[in-house]
Amino acid sequence: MRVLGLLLLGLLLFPAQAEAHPLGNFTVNHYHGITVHPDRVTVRAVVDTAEIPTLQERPAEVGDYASRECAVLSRATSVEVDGRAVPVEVRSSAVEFPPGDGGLPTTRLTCVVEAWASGETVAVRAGYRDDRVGWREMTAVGDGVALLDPPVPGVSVTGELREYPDDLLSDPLDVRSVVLRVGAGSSAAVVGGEVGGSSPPGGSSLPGGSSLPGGSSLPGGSSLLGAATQAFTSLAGDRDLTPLVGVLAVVLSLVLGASHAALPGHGKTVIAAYLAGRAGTPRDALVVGATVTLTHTAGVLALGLLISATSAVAGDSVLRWLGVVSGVLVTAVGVTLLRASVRRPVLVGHGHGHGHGHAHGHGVGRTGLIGMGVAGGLVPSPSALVVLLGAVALGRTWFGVVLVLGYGLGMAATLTAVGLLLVRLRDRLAAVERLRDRFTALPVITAALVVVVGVGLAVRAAWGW
Amino acid sequence: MIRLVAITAVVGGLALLVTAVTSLSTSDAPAQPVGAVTEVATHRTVSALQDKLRRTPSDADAWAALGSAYVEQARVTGDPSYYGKAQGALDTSLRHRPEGNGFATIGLGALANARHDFAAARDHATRAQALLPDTAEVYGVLADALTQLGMAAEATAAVQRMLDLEPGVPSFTRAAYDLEQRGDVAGARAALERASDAAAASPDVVFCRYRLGELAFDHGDLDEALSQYSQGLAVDPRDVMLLQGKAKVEFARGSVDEALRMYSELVQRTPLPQLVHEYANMLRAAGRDPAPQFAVLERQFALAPDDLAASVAAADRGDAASALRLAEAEWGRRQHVLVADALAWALHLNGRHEEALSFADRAVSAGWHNAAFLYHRGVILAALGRDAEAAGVVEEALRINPHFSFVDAPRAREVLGGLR
Amino acid sequence: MSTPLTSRRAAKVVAALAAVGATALATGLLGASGAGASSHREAPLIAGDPAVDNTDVYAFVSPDHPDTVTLIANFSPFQEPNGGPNFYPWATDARYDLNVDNDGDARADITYRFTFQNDDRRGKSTFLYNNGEVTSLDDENLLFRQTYTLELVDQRGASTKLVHKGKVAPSNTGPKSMPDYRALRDQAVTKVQGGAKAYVGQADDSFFLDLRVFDLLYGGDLSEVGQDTLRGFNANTIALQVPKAWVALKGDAKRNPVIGVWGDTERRSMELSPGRYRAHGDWVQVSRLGNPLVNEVVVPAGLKDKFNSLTPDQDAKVKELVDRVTNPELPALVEGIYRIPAPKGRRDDLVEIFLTGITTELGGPIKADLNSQVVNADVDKRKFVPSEQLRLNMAVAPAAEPNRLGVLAQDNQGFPNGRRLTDDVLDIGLQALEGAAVNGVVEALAAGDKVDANENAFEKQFPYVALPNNTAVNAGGAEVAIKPTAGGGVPTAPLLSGLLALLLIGAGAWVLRHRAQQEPPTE
Repeated sequence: MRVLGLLLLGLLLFPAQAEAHPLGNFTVNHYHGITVHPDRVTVRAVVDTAEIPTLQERPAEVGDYASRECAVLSRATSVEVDGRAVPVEVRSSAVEFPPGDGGLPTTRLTCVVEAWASGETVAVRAGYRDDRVGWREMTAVGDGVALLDPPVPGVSVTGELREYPDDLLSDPLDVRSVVLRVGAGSSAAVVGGEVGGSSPPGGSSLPGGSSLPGGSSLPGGSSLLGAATQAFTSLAGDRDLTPLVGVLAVVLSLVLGASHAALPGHGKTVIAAYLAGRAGTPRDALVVGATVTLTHTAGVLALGLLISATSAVAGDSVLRWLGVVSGVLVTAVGVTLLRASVRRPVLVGHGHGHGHGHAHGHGVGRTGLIGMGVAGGLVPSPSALVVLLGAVALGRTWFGVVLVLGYGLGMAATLTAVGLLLVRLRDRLAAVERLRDRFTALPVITAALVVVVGVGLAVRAAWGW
Repeated sequence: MIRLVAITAVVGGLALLVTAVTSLSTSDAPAQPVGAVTEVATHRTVSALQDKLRRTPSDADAWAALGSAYVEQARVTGDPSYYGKAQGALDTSLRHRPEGNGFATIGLGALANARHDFAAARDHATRAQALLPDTAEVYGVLADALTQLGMAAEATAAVQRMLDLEPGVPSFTRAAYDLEQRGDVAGARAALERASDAAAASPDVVFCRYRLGELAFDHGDLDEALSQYSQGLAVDPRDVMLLQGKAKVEFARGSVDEALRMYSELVQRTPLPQLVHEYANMLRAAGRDPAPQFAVLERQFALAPDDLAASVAAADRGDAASALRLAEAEWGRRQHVLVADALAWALHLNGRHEEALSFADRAVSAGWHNAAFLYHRGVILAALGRDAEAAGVVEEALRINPHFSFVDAPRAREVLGGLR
Repeated sequence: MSTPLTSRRAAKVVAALAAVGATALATGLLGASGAGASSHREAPLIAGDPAVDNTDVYAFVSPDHPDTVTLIANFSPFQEPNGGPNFYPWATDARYDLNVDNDGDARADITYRFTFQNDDRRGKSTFLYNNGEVTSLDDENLLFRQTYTLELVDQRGASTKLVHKGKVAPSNTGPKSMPDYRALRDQAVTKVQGGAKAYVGQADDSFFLDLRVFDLLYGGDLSEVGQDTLRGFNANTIALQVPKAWVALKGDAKRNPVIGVWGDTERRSMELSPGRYRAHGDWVQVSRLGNPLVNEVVVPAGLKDKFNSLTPDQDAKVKELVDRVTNPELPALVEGIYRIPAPKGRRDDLVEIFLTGITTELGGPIKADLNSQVVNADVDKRKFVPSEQLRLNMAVAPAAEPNRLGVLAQDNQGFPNGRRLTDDVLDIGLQALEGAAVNGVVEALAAGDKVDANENAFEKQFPYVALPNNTAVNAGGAEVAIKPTAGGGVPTAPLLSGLLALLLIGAGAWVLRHRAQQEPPTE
């Protein structure tokens, strides 16, 4: 009974899934799934031929139908890279005959064709049986390269011509050609995809869908934050930039930076531990925050501009290296601390007198603090980078810079706040007092902790975890 | 530390310089629109309404207008998926305003006509007429339904009302069909020319040119027919029906191979039953095997029944029993002269010449100068032994259009020879 | 229900868009769908008739010739200025009339009638509009031309020819074909004996509005408006400038300064009855326009076709129409959705605006005597018949700085006293319906459709309308992004970037050098 109810509910929720061939039984429907690789363009073409043309053609009676037709298709498919026509070769071909209406078979031809070339623009035009009535769909993704603002989605809305959507307010798709702009390496989408880890290794399907750079796969702790991040990136890429949108984008960038810094794995533990252990003052907290902002903004800008300038550098590998550098830096700070704590135990022992300890710790502390800040801000957060690149791609570099600055400020605010909070708490609470005592009593542990975190960061970055 | 910052500044500055220079060099290129590089054959016809309904989904009038626009889209594109969308849009309109929704009712009528449910179309039109007595479209839907149901006089009145409300392409083209069926060829041509002059949208221009071409072809004027088809093809070089017209002219002028090539291409492109059927007949006339085409046609009628067309096809491939059964079924639904003619022919093929003659008489009663009707009637008369009458009628058929059928026109000449 | 998209104008919007969209659609599909096409000829049902669709009428005292009045009528909206094969001829089996009623009996006392003739030099070999660059109206490259006849028809139907074989300015087929459209247009301005001028040809569609403002009736988001629906499109324009005396009652514009104006187009029907067939039957009025937006906000959807066929003297007899003026639907809907209270009671203020003209003499609530024919000294008030016309008091001198809100902003030279090209009739109309003529401007709706001016500036002299656009309209909207670079000049963004780059490098280098100089001593 319950099952029946669910079934009925299902029917209500998904009324009248469109018939097999929405455009009727004499249509020939086309799907072209384009994947742009660094060295070639692959097109996965599916041709869904309805009952009547199948009947006319009788492909089942032709032995080499798939290979023959895919050869025709490959000749009819034009791929131009940077305006230069590239020969299209068949890589694989297959055909099946799913049953259709009236006991008649239909034809489903699948051809994978490829063209070996690389460049900045890739134009694909589908010419196979282009005079037939039918659905014409194209998707495009980059694999190892980025597609800048691709005009077609990354995922087929029909599941490669298996289910046709039934929307009263849209027309049948009729996409016959597409021009893709390839930003080698500067792929916001790839950066987002790779860093977000949602792209399968070597996978061909970047989460596209959105026409905006990196639209759908940005790292974000919660889905809410993810949505906000997406809104942020789309704001920077918004074509109609009104003052309101601009202000909104800046505010959002502040909020996002702040929340980004609140996410785990941002060296806050290190900073917190450091501040707590180093008898830090509010001023120290501010120094750390300012350094983070500066480093982060400079890092993102430098990386973003570098990427824009030298399209040969792959964005994700740079990020990875920076991650490693950051980890190493943190480790170095830890090692310095360790050395200091081992060499000068007396200094730490003084810890009870605030002014005294503070005064003593200052020399080493300032450098250490800045080092911390650099470490915290050195790894440019992917979303900020995406925003910058998106803005650059849209010819709005300055707006992107402002947003990145805002992002860094937001981050700094959080980190400073955390630092201030710790400083305050430590002064007020007995529990924290004891904690501090333990830390101050065991400076080696503090330093070791920093080292561990640093190594962890480096390893994580190196392994792309 | 400061050194690091300085180095970063230098590196960043260099990078920025490179970016600026590259952007400067590329900005010389003609401004290419960002993103808009997909080539989509946009259907702007309905997009305005679609946009509006996305904003205000409860607008019953807009849904009704969209439904009617989808019916037109189906007609223009030949894409039957628009029928489903039209139904959905019109239903939605009626859901938002169930009572007194004249525009949705017109749309339902137009949709019913398109689906050949002429009785339902008439009912919708009648209901719409009560709500919108001064709206021309009501009478267009009504006229189409009444014509196909065989109610010629009522149909004429509806077209006249439409003309008096809104003289324009829709009413002029309907007037032309009305006049043609009553044998007023000059009037039909004048009406189509007025329609053609008033036509603004290219599908309308193409439609008028095709009808003008057909009118000329059906009365044996191949030059004029070709000229009209060609003028239509200047507007839309790939229009299937205009190309079909050209292929017919080729065949009539003896370029059989060229005509066959054109038809085979057309049926590959758009296997409309009408085209497949004509191609089969052309193959028959050329002495080639039409069986595969008839097989396709049969399956098509199984998928989308059309008893009139199926009856004629059955008669052409020699299945007299089926032809009669199908023609009778259609006659039960509507009594258009084309159905009368098909029924007459099917009865004749089954040896029932007397009955056949009464329907053949009925087919020509309105005065339509239709060569096929006359040929059928002549052959039936001959079967009844009324040779002199038969010869006159067949002669008349050939006089009207010596190329009225790929198969039957040569036969008509044989029949005539035999009768003399 | 009155919704813009089912109104006459908007219905034609769809039809016109069909016309432009169809070219893109022509991908070689069928002429007939489904089976049995040979029996059932599917003729078009809603083809639209843009060529005779009168979309706007303007009437104003000519600012540069204040002794004359200018009448402008637009037709055939949504012309895509993308050149190529599309051009937009005037119908040759139609009458394009500009009517003047100066005694208030709701019948035309003077009709300026334009009819058209083709001069088709294309022969059978080409379908091209022009065959190369067109630099004058007589250019041999212009293969399809039209001429017009302008007649003056008096109330008895007697006609006088004012212009014979007047030259129509062609459709602008783009900068390659017509590099200097202004020259063509100047040549098309025809002087008429007695101090009048006529222009017939293409122009930028002078109407500006965001049609989406009407979505507010359905709870749509008003913040979405602000986009000129007609931006970039062209229209066919008739402009006529005549001395005031020509149109004033008894030829005396001093005593009788008020005229009522409306445009209409007529096509000939066809007589089908057996035996009585005529290819050209009676004239049928297919389009009519006086006040702007009447179709959108006053005439109910079911009555739009009828309204287009009515002559003004019939207006007062159509109860549904009068009811819609005295009790309009729009304010009630606005109240329902936006809580802006609708004016109470019978809307006699709207009767004045749309049906009688603004006057105190007929007992209306608006305390002004502005533009009813009863203001004319020689009008017999008893013969006055309310009707929908665009009424103009020619005695009001042209404003030096016209206010887009016209009479509502104390600029009495603007709508609803006649209509100037710059009048923001949508905002005015919306306010008028909300009772602004009596109670003042309704602040909550003051922003209106947020389209306050035409995209192209109007001209200072006759024919005043802006030159036709000759670049394609991005009607697709979302599909096409406009590159955010300013047109021409120095590319500022890269320049700024370059400056900053140099600054950075310089600063970095300076710091490094500074450090290098300082460091040796410290080590």
